[in-house]
Amino acid sequence: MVISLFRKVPISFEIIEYESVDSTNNELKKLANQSLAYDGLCIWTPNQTLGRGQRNNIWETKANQNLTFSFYASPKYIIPQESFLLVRAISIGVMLYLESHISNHDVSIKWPNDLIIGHKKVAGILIENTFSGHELKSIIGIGINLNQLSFNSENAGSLTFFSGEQYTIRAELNHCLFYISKALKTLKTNRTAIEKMYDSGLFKKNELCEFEAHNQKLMGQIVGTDEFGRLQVETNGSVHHYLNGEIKMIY
Amino acid sequence: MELKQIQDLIKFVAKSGVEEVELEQDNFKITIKARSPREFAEPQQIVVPANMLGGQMQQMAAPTPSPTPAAPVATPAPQPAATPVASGTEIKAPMIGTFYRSSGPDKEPFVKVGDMVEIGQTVCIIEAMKLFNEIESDVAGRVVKVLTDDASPVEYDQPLFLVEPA
Repeated sequence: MVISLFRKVPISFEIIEYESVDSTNNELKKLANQSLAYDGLCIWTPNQTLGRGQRNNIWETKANQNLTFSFYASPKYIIPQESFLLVRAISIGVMLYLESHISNHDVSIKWPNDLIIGHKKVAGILIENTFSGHELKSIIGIGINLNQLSFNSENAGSLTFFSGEQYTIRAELNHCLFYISKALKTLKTNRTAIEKMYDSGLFKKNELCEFEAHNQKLMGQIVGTDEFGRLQVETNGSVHHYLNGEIKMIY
Repeated sequence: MELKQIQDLIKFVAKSGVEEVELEQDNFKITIKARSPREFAEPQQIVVPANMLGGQMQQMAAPTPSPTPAAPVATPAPQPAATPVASGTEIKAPMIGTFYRSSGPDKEPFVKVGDMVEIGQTVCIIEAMKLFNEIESDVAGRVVKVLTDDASPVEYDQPLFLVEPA
């Protein structure tokens, strides 16, 4: 286990490196349950063996090729109803990080929390919050495909796939945390800016495309998200708000 | 209140199975009682705060076509007087989302009826826009009722559990 300090960022992180771990989120959760976690504590491993996606989906990753890490935050300025702000800020941080490497393709946010280059998913975010009363404790897990070139799914890709570069994972961790901390700092001082950036970064925004909602196909366009993070889709001149799971984009 | 609104309200009361509705505005009060065969049922009363009236009216004006009405103002089903009515403190949803009673599809629920809960103990997960929120109890006591079905959508401030304070 290697512990290093990384303080040249707007918010300081302390990184604990594990040779191998099943899931960085789970590992951080264990520390949090023993009251050993603190703001900026970051768990990183080059070899995550059982990465988790949303509610037990497996995040497919190969050893020493991708960036997978989790960090702890307890932003006191966010109340439960506003917790989607965290998704917005982290998505923007990862988007800015990806954009720093990619110039010839669009980087966008596929609502609510996937990062897309071109049409391929390159990064995902898994945030697990605990609310006791109004106090928020948050475990923020991020997976970014860096050097991996073969995927089981057609819809998955990596930074290498688009840039042709090879990346040093440990260096990319610092690089990525830099952008995330910038986004979190902006969230603290100017949440309206974060809301606007998130909405304007949405994949397929203002483009007419096909959706499936409540087992029905419909044509519509994404116009933004509401304060709870629900997707706003305009169909035939009226705007509907959808929770995730209620609507699926067909692309 | 316009005649049309009153008619809609009467229809709504008749359909909902609610025994009695009383609405009061600044200088206006209306009470609608349903003739019910449920002689033993305790009267149910819906108290609508004046500032809520606008929203309620909208919902009443557009009743659901389904034969079993999903009453927009949910009240517990009338219970026979013999059954003691459960009382206690409600644990409410701090956000909108989907309510989960366990950490995974095959996992045990965090809490069951009859369990003792402590302040700070995780009682459920509310998932909203892929954000997983573990909700901790803000009361200590015994769970007497689970008020929401697993994996169903919840609104902000919707009661989730009824807890009898210790």
